[in-house]
Amino acid sequence: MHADLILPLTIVGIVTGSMYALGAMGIVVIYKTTRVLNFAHGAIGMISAFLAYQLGYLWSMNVGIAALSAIAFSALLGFSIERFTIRPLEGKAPLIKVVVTLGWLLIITSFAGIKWGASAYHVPIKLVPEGTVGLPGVHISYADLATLAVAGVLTAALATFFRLTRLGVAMRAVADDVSSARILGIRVDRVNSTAWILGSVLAAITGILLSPKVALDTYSLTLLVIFSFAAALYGGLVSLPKAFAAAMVLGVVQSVSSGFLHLAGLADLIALAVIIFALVQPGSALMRAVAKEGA
Amino acid sequence: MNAPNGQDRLFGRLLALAFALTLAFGVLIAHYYDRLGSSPAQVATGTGTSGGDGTSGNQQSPGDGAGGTAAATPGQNPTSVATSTTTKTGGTTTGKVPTGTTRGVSKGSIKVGGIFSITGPFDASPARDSTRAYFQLINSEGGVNGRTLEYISYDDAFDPTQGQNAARKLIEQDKVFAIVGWLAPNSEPAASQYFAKVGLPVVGGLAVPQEFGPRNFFATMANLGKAGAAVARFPCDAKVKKPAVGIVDLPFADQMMAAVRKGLAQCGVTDPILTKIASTSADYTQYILEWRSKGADSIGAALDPMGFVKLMQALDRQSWHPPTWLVGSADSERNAMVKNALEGAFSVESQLVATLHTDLPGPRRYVETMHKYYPGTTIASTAQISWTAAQVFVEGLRRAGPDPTWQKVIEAIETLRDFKTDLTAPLTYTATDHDAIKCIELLQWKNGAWTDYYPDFQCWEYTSDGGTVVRPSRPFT
Amino acid sequence: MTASRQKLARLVAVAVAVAAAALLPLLLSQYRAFTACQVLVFATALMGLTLITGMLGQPSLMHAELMGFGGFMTGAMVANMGINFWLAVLLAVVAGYLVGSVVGLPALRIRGLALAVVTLAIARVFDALVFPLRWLSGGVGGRSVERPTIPGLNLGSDRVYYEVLLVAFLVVLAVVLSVKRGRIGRVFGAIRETDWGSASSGVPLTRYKLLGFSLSAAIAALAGALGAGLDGSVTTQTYPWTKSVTLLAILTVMGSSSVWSPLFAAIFVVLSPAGLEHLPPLPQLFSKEQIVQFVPLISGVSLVLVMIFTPQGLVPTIGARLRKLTSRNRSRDDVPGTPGGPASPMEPGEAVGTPTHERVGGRA
Repeated sequence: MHADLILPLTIVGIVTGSMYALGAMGIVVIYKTTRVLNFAHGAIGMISAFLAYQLGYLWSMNVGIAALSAIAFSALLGFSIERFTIRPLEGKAPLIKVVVTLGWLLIITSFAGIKWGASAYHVPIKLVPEGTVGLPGVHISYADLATLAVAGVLTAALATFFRLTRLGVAMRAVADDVSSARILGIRVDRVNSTAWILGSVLAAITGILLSPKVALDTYSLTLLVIFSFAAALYGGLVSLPKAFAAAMVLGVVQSVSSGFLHLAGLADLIALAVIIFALVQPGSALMRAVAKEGA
Repeated sequence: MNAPNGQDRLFGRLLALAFALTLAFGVLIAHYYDRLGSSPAQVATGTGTSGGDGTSGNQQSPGDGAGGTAAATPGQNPTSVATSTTTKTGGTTTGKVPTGTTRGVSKGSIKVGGIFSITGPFDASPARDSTRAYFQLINSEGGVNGRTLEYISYDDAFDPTQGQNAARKLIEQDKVFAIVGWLAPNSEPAASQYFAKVGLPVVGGLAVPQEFGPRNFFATMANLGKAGAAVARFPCDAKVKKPAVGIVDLPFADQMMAAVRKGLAQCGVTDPILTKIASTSADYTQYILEWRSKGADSIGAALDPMGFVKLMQALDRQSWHPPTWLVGSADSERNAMVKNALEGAFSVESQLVATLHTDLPGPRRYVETMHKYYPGTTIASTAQISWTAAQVFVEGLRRAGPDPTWQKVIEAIETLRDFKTDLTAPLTYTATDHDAIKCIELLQWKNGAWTDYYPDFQCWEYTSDGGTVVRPSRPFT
Repeated sequence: MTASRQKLARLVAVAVAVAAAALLPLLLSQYRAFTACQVLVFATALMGLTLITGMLGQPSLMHAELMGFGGFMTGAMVANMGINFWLAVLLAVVAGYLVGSVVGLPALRIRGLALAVVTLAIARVFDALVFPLRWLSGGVGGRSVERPTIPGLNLGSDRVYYEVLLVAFLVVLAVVLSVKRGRIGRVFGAIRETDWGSASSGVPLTRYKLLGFSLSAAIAALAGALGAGLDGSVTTQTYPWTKSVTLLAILTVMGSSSVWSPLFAAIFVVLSPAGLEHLPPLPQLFSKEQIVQFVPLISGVSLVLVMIFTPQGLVPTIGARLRKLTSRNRSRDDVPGTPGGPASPMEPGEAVGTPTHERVGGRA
């Protein structure tokens, strides 16, 4: 393989990695606060993208308004999921709540399939204008740049939020020990709702930004989000910067190695390798987070 | 809680007891069935299932597998067909024809079955509707030899377990006479094995390589494992030096690549770039970059529908537009999204794109019938395969006469010589060659639409070493 | 004495149940016998999942892949090495056992939901990398497996093959029950508590965790191997990760702690698309196609509702109700619950570990 491919492939890998990173944000936010792994994350993103399609393409509304409406809808959806189907299970084991999110995955996916057709092709709305930027050896589109920018900014903003703001600290406290948090006067219910709203909004942003690239159908985004889960895992499901870094590494390694090695399933193997790497490092965020919580 | 000893001994005894009892019963039942061969509910003089349970014509003797899976006793396979090994890429079909059975045939109707992936990532409902529409059309014209066609189809939801279930349901519960027009890509390899054992006529399907061995299978699509060699002739004609070929990572992608390599070698291109493309990968830019850096001067692609879009989008982004041949991508819905990148690209179709040729009687009949019975359904090339399958089956049924049996229908289809269909070049099936699709239509995208590049079908014949020879073109009719 | 008469009564009950199960095929058409066989295959596999997730508390999203591994190994050995089917099954089970101890290694380091994600990644690797290997799947994505033979028995008939599957299921059931009620089961329960709660134990985790994964994988391999013989083939699409997720979800709904859940979960997994077509209000209101589209929707809603109202699972809840209805005074509480610990492993053993958390739900 030609050495002149390494830089272009790396750039492509960064683009792919930023897609994973964007998807990982919402997963981490929800887990960080509520200790629930939201398997419906990709589905929430997907249905928000579909809603934006319905408004912006089928009903020819302004694309910006369509996107904002879709994001507002996702906030409502996330809130409802938490309020009515997760909160009654407070105190129950996490796996129960995860199964609930699996149920929601089924509900949302099949609903979208019934309403819009599971595999018929849908034209996703484009928030970013067409056009490419020339980099060494490869052109990347404005949309790719936007994804990278949004992922980076969000990571920094959210990490700061969790570390420095009162609400952010409260969310972390709730994850550590619900009873103690209550004793401290934290409104646990409100904190949980906020986490789910935030996570769903992040899912919607992911879905709307990525669907021009990934395809607007009922399953593509879910598949992509698996790599987001892997990246989030590297940060112990609680560290946003680590998730971002892992996502980037994942994307780049997948991309560059595919130039050297044509192996089916290479991408998945690399994701697994990243995880294993995290496992064998004694001080990794993954180990720390898990050892502390036990869940 | 009892002492562990008591519990352990108790369960040890329970275990032994359960084992022994089950064995005893199992042997009893096995013995019982061995002697009878089938249960009362299965005897062909029909009980239970309504309508048409083999009340006419020669019956299978009960011991011959009418009571269920045809492998009634090991080694006594009524089809005695060569075991469908999964590496067959086609060529001669082998084996004896299953002796006649007439299940599913009644005085007034014939039951035919199909399996389609409807719910899930792949939506084959246009194919199902096409099959149904053809049968409805034939029924409205009086049926076949006085019988109407009744179509029963199931959804496998893209899950082979459900597909196996549906296959067995069709055979053992609904007792269909034949399988026609089915399209369930995930289940086809698995269910094909079963249908091959049963031996009933199977017309249509995705033309996976397994389906070209057993004698009861008739494909109405080009042999996926071999046709690559034929398609290679177009890049060859264009005198490309270094084509890059991307094939989606289907299980038999290796066979497809070997065929393409063979075909390209025939015109002196010995070093093509052959790449398996992961259908789950979100961005095809990496493949484009690699091909370009290796000096590719043209592109050939056989991909899933979304894969074509991703490929063209990636090409567009990199501003690279070499001559491109796409296999089976003339699906206008998605193409609308990649107008610019498609300009000048070619598409290879094994059936006439009906919507482009409504001036011809065959495609017109197809489009009008679909609009009549299923106005909301998309017209797509994958669906057209099922229409052709239904057409071939009906003709075979017609030729088999008033008392159709499996054997008669299979042999009748094998008498088709240059049989004119609505949507393909004339088809020929023989006792040793069920590979009937050997002509394709070549289209080019010009100014936002597909147009015929050649005004007729481009045809070929396979050679014994897996290559192809060009045959005279045949007109669209 | 009451105790030994109770034991006798139980033995008789077991015998009758087994006999009924063995005679079931006589009542079924060939097609339904095939469906019953499919149910048994999944019930057997789900026993393994109950063991690893219910008893040991390790969530596993790769269980279907382990079934597929067993199926592919069997088919590959028969095809490539020409050995007898039954021997191949045995070897596949052993191979499954070994693979289980390898894929169980991550569990030594991480616990809880993080482990779930890791098993999902492992599942994807199986799907994308391992199954397509030429030795396993023949390079065409599917391995055909001839229905095995036993001299003197007509295994080609699904009714007869059912008996083979029933034997396997009962053997696995007995094994899992013995584990559960024995010393190993107690250790498993302690591990589950350790993992999901903040309790600490002096138990050597490594050995028992790996044992749990190995056993669970061996059981899954057995089920997959026999399933391959049933279907006549196993393809790279037969046991994908989506199936693993479905298996865990349905088993959790039924109650991952009870050994009776696998059977009901298997019935649901195999029959639900077809079953829903006949559920009373639906056929009248919708066409067959529309019903099929609604299946995932209805499954999702049921999943959510069941988890909210009966988090420990349907089987233990219904079982407890039934027992309350039919019980008289019993000398001891003979419930298939785990020795020690809470009613079900997926019960309050949450991360908080406060001394006053409420114990919800009856004993399984």
